[in-house]
Amino acid sequence: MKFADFVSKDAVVAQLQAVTKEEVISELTDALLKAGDIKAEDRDDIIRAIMKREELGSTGIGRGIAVPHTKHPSVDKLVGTVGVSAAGVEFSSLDGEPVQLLFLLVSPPDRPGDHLRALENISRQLRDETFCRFLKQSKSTGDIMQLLEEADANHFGS
Amino acid sequence: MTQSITRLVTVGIPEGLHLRPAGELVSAVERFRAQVAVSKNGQVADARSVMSLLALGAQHGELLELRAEGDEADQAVDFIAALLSPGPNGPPSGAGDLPMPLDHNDSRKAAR
Repeated sequence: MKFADFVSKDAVVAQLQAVTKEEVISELTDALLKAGDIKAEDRDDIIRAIMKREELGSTGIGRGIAVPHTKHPSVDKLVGTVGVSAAGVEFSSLDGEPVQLLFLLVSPPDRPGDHLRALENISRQLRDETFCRFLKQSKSTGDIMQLLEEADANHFGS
Repeated sequence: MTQSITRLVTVGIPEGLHLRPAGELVSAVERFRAQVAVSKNGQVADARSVMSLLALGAQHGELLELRAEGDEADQAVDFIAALLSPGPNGPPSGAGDLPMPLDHNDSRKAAR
């Protein structure tokens, strides 16, 4: 699976304003809403579900990266977005570091394989330090999309 | 005594090796005096890294090779195998209470 298969271009947020975990999850969910990937009536429930998942263990996987996610019956395909926080957000990550790079994923309950393939792609690509550093330094959605496209075209290591 | 163990395990987690079990695997490995690598089709992941494990994209039913070295390699492999292929009572909850892996998962190739 490639970034282009699940990252909603119009929902990418280059300069996240939020400073807490709940705020940043709301900001990214709102970006999916504005892009038309989720419906207004599902917004609050999706945020609640993502926060509930975080209670089971932070999705901050280290190296300044977090993958907040949930299953939700309102989506019929995996939808996701990317956000960059220059200041970093406290996320109770595995390594204790604040997160600067967030991939928020909402997947249909009956498609766990797609969720796993998205996680695989994110983890594999972000192991490349150059790609990871450039993404964190992105200042515009154009920068982010270009980096994701280059990663999809295998321009970075792995 | 330093041990070197290799074992094949089929992923029994219905949703595959996703973030939560990967995190549990990393926490478990840290409790044992052993270095553990998990590989799928030749792609090798360090069992101490969630990102490395997720990058395997190991789906339900896929075959993983566990390779462990160290004083507690045997216990580490037992624990990880049980975590990857949970029995009817669910995944293991503590290192002191090790469910034995099922026979069909116990295809150990080399020991000691």
